[in-house]
Amino acid sequence: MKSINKICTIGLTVLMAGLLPACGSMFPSAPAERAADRVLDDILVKKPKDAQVVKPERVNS
Amino acid sequence: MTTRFKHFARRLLAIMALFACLPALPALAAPFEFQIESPSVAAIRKSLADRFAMLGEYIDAGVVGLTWEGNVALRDADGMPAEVRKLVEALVADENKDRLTLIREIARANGRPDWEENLRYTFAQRWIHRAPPGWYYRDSNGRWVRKSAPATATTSDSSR
Repeated sequence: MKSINKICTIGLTVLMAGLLPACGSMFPSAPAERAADRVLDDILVKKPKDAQVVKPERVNS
Repeated sequence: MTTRFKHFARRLLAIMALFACLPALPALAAPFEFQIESPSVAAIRKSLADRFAMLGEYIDAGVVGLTWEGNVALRDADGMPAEVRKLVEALVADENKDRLTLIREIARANGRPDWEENLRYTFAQRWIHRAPPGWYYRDSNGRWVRKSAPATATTSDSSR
């Protein structure tokens, strides 16, 4: 009975430890959103208000 | 027999409780942040920012729009002189090339190239979400949608 207990305990521990890598591979959405925001802030802050761009008249009106 | 079973059950519960706590461990550790300061990523960010000085004007005018895949695309070039259209097409092509490389390099710099697709989707959604009113984006059905006010948008025309 004692050895069965040991086998069950070890087996269960190994099984649950096997699930750990799955937790580590989960994609972190919130940090990814923050990274996107940082990149976007970088881009938007550099946009000059008076950039010289040739545009079709129809679009400007 | 009963004592042994109780002993086993107690040990089993202790192990299960230990593993039940594991998902909370990352929250206790320092919060994960994507590193976007590597030399390759920084170079692409600079390139994107420099180009946006010109591309942003075409996006503001509705000539170019964002896409749900995380790119930009020519939306409305009707009546545009051929040479200007050529310039805008070149801007769009360069921008998309940089965006593709940006996401790939961020995934690689953080040691997770397998996250590239998830990153691309997240960046695309985030950029559309933060787009100011008046900007256009192409949704997953190929329709161009004009952002009108925060959290609302109206469909304008069909895809070209």
